Amino acid sequence: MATPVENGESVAVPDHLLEIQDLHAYYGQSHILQGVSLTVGREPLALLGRNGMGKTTLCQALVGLVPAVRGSARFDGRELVGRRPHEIASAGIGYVPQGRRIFPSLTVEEHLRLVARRESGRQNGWTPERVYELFSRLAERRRHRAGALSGGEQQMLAIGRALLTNPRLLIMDEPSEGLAPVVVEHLIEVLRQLSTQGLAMLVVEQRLAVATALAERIAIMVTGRIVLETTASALLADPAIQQQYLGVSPRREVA
Amino acid sequence: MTWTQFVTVTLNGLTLAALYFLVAVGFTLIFGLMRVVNLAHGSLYLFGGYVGWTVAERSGNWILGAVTAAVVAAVAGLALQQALLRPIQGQDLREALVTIGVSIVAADLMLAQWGGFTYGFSPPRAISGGARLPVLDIGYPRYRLFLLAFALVVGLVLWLLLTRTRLGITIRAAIDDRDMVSAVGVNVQRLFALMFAFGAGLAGLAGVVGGSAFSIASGEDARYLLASLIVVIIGGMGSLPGTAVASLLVALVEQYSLALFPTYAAIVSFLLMVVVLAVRPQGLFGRPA
Ligand SMILES: Nc1ncnc2c1ncn2[C@@H]1O[C@H](COP(=O)(O)OP(=O)(O)OP(=O)(O)O)[C@@H](O)[C@H]1O
Ligand SMILES: [Mg+2]
Repeated sequence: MATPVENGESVAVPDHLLEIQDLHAYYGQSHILQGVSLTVGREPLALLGRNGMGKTTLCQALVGLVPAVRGSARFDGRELVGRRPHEIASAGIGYVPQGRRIFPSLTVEEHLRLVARRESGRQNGWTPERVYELFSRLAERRRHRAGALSGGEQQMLAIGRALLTNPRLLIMDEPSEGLAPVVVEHLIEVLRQLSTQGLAMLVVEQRLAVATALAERIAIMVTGRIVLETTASALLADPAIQQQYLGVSPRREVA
Repeated sequence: MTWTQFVTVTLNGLTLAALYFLVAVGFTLIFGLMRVVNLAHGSLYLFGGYVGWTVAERSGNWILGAVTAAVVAAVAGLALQQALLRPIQGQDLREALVTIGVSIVAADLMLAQWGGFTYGFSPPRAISGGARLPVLDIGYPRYRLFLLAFALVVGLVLWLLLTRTRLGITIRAAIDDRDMVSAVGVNVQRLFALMFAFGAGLAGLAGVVGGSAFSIASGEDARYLLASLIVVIIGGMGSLPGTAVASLLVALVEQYSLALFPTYAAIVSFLLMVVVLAVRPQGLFGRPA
């Protein structure tokens, strides 16, 4: 599916842009990530798993928001473990968190202004105007408080906010959660487009249909470990695995 | 109450509110941004007052005293935050205990240095003496009117800063969700240090500006810490309009009750706080937790 097209905007993405090796994370006494190893390159990767398996913890550990982390995660050859969130953001990792976590008291415009141009001097960078072009809905809502937006609009804002840091890799945690099917379809379309333009992606998903629509490479997490790496077509064709690791009855709506 | 009394009490309330606002606004922004209840905030006020008084006396320049107080208190606040609070960041109870400890030690050190005397300032002639208010036709100290105007200007500048500049937008965003602000590339530690220095500096400045309307003496630290706490609880943490409204409410209620039933005046602000907490636990302008 998402093969990079050679137009002016596409950037070469190394096949080992993000290399996670034996990553462990802890919340106090509880050992949440128990040795995760994964590689993300040009092709989007979807991470699936049931509730409470540690998917969010992995995302947060990668962007520096979990204090107790051991192991290695290299981004473009440089170690992320031990670095602070703002350093990781400026290194080129954009984060779209679970539950969106927009700033309720800021307007849409203020969100974009907050992030825009921190990475000055970068060519072809994201600007608020480009975000408004990508999500015209946000342009209509410029002056609205983000807390008053619909779930879909908040998700667009969370993505736009992450894009403005000019990431090379986007980490998204359940972007489809709580959204209506037509909104999800729109999001998938936009994300695929971003992917073909050379943006690497790690997407956590609970919805099989969304995960397989976004990524051909699939990883499955069970209690803090990656238990299976497979392809979208193989997973879709194997109801037994779906049942075992995801607890889904085969073939729900396909986006 | 006669008309003259009423107007005077109201003006006293307004000018006291101005001082409460100056002291509490740094306290509430620090609280909102970093979730640190800085119980040494009153000490910074008193420290600024003493330092400002000393400098103003020696140099004969009140403005120099006020500026020095702001700078010295800002540096003291920054040192407190970097040396003592940063290592225990996020541990609410320890932070509270450390700042209480600092306030107790600071109170004794200041008592040793400046004694138990009451110090008065002599502000520049342009803002001292009496003024005859037009329309109302009542005499009132000119300095107190300056205090009111000064607080209004500070409030307005802060409001413009918070709503119009990127720094202000970043601060408001961080009051909402610090982690997400750091995840979009903002060095929140630097933001914390800046805010702490700013809040402390404003408290130190208030020591001179407020001390010139009233006076400076040991014990004032606890008084203004308490006032700040009540203002923040009533107004809601991290809210600029909340701080302004709560300062007005607390100071006016305090002054009216002092004039009407002096015996019970001390408990009236607490009653006000209890009523607000019962109706709106997050404060008048606070967001629900
Ligand atoms: N801040 C925290 N403190 C302590 N434990 C936590 C914390 N956050 C998560 N956990 C625990 O870590 C485990 C993994 O949680 P995590 O949120 O990473 O799972 P998840 O796979 O993202 O789940 P979901 O699909 O529900 O989002 C859970 O058992 C959870 O209870
Ligand atoms: Mg999760």
